[in-house]
Amino acid sequence: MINTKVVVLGFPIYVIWAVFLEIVFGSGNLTTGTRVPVGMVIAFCLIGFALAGGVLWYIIRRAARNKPDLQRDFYWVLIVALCVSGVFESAGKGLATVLLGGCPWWVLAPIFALSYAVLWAVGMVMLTRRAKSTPTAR
Amino acid sequence: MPTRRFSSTILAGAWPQTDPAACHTLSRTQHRKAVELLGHSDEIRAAATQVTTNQAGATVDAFGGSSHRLAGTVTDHADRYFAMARASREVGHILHGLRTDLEHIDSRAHTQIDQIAQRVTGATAVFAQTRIIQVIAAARGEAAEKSATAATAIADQGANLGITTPPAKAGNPSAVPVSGPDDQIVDPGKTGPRIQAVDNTTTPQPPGVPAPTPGGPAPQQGFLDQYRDSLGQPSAPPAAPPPVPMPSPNPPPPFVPEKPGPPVRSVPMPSFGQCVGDHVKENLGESMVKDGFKSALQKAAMGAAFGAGLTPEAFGAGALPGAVLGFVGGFAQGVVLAPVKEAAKGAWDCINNPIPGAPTP
Repeated sequence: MINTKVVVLGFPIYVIWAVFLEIVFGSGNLTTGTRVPVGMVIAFCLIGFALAGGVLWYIIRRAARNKPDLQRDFYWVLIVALCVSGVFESAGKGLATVLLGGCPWWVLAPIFALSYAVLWAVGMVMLTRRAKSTPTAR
Repeated sequence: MPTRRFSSTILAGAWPQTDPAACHTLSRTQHRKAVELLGHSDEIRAAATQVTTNQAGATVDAFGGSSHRLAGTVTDHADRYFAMARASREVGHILHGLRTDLEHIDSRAHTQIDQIAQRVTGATAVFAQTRIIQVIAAARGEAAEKSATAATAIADQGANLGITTPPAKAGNPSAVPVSGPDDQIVDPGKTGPRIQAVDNTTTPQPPGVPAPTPGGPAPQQGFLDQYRDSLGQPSAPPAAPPPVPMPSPNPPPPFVPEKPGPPVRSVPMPSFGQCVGDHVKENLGESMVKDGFKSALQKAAMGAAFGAGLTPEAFGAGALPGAVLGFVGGFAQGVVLAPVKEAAKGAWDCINNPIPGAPTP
């Protein structure tokens, strides 16, 4: 069982927090080296957030019926999910840097949204498989 | 010479000090001299024809034949002056083209330096300095290459005139004597008119001034030697004749060679991989620390949400261990992925700011 309210509430909070940290640390180039059309910016943001929302909705709907054994699996699952989402996030930022010459906020926001969805997707897949393979957890 | 910020560094030793306009003036003067010699040749022939028409005898015939030979020699001199006029005009074109090319190289290098300077930040100052030095070195090498090409073209002009071959009078008695444009026709005497060779390796002295002694000052440098000196290249031996002799009437302003600069050495150009590698080495330490903490704070929030979302029965008690685990894991992740991130940024910089002469990726 997962708390749907926390997952949904954490989605925009995490995106805003992550973008805020990127801007504060200023480690990336926040301006693109090439001119990008406005339509492409809007489409990129909409597609990114739509994908992240779809993944989260599917994960919550599928995983809500299972009750994972958190005491045993929580730490490993979180580490693996963080690594996978982190690699996804870094790959997205690196690709944007190479293609656009920087990572502005409108690129970072969809990437962080998708990274958040990947975290929950990987976590739920691992916990669900673990719960199904353990008779006591059913 | 251009007066931009690094122009003296880029073009030192490569910028030709000789004004191309002086070469064109020289060409016109040589052309006038050739026309004048042709006129003299016609006058000699006309005088000989008149004498042999009005009078007769062996002496008259000998005078006529000798005058016609003398007229042919003067015509040869006129032809040499025409050839020198063409060579001087061509040298002027070469120098003008060289100045234009060097101006273009200098302008392009400064444009690249300005672009690098505009993008520089405090963290990339050292890397930007390295890039600027590389741009200057590449432009300097390109300028030296252009100068060498121009010097070769000018030397070819001299070779076309036959001025690079050693004269017969230098110590080869069996060779056929070759007359020069500056040779003098002296009093015929009993053997008829003859040509006396002029020593071009010594500076002509005005009347009343004693001639220089053999152990005195060094002979005047030729045009090509002066130009080679201005390029920082070794000059020809002083015994070689001057490639483009100056005519006596209205000589162009003397050539003032620039102080020879240091010899131009070719700087090895870094490859694309070296460019990216330099960028990574320059920024890796700072990036690992910054990305580590940034990623730790981001993943702490993510871990807290993950822990709280998975513990609804405990009122979100998993948020704290999730945040701690996310902080530690995020820091490690930021440190590990920092080299990849810097490599991507370095690739973007090296692709968009290529070093002139460096191999493209």
